[in-house]
Amino acid sequence: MSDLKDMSTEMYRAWETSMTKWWDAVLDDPQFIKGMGDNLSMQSRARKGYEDRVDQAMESMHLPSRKDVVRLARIASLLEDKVLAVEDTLLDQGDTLGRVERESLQARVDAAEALVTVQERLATIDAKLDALTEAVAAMAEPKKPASRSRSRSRKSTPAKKADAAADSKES
Amino acid sequence: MTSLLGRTAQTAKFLAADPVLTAKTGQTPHEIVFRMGKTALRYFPPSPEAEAKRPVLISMPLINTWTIFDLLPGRSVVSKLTAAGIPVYLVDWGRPGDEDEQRPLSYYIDDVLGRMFDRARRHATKHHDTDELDAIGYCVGGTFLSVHLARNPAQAKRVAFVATPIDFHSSERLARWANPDTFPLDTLIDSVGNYPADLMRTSFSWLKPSGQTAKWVGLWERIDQDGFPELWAALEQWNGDNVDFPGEAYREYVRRCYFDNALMTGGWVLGTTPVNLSKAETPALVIGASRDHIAPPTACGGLEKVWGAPCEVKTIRGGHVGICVGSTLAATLIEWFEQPEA
Repeated sequence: MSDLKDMSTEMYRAWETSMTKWWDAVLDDPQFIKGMGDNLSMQSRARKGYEDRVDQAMESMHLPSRKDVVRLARIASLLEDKVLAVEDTLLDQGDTLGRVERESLQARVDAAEALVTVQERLATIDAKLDALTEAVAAMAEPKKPASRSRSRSRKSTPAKKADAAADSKES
Repeated sequence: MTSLLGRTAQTAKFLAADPVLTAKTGQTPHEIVFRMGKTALRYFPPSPEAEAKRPVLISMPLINTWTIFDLLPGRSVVSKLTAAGIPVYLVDWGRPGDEDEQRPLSYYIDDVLGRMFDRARRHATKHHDTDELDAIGYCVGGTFLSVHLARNPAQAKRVAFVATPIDFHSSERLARWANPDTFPLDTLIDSVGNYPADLMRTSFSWLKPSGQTAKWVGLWERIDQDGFPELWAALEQWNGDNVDFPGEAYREYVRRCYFDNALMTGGWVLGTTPVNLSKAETPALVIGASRDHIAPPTACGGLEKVWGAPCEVKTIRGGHVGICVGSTLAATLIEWFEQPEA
């Protein structure tokens, strides 16, 4: 049985080789190619003629023809093109908004960081001022009596002057 | 060893169950994160166990469905990428209708791909903490991606082009057929609007007629091979599921790429901007398939001559579609994306 299969396969291969050679000669022959082109041309004209007649028949019966349906479908696809153009614009605007949002978010983060930095610096300055005040106070502490007598003498001078002025007015 | 008759009976029984109709493709869990017209951006999350890697955006071809990159479990490029920790965003062009026949090629290359990159990047920023993407293009999807990246170099850090035709005049039979003297491009588009899916399918079958018999013989020969019949059925379903190519986009694509070979020779102004691949700044990997009759390795390798950034060319074994269901493609892509960047 296997021999029979091999034999039939071999026979087929031989047939295929000779047929391929024959087909190659035919299909590459310029006359055949020209004939095929002419035939195609004729068939397409016939098809157009048939379709035109069908359209005419439909129109005469006041029924929508293929042309009418195609016209409607074309309008629908042109509308779809416009919708897509709007979608493109919206997507582009979405991109711009996204970019602006990202940038504004970054700006807010930068501002918050700057605020924290300023607060930290203020706190540092505050702390330094406190330290300075304490230092000044500490420095001032042992010289208290002297400063008191000085202030007293300073205060006494205007008081004396005021008293003198009052005296002169009275006189 | 199954007997000749037994094998035939087994094949008949398999076909009688209508496996092509019932094949389930695109099973890897994912979600649609964005829609633009018929196009959907499908997101495949990475495996949580794997080390997180840079997300990748995949541009699939406009002429077929996306499921060839997720055909069956174990035969899926996207599931292998996600298992390696790569989040995947896949551009599924959907099924253009008659209302799309006036859409210019620049709509697909500039507008749709531009928005897909944008939405993938937004999603990746939210879910993967990165706004960088890599990219993969397959077949015509790769051709579109090459033009887009040359015009927008910042979109991807690295790019891999899989079976992507660039030097269209090296596309062998397809280039001989799609020549301005014999191919009635204007008559065709002016008459039928969108390039019809059934015509696309027929053209590809005629490119290699022996393939039509070979696939049946292949099924008969490997009917008892584990997993092969299921793969065969899924591939058949995908092959038969072409989509219409929007007319005006097709006119410009064929005129500039097949007629003028403008990606190699220049002189193509798409929209209002010239197409110049030498302005590309994204390092690229070109993966060709050794037995590809749609985008032969010579047509893919053309990128190396015109791409403005470093370009590495590799050829792996297989055909145009076969490489997508083998294991080598995913492994090659993962290896490339894991390489340290220059």
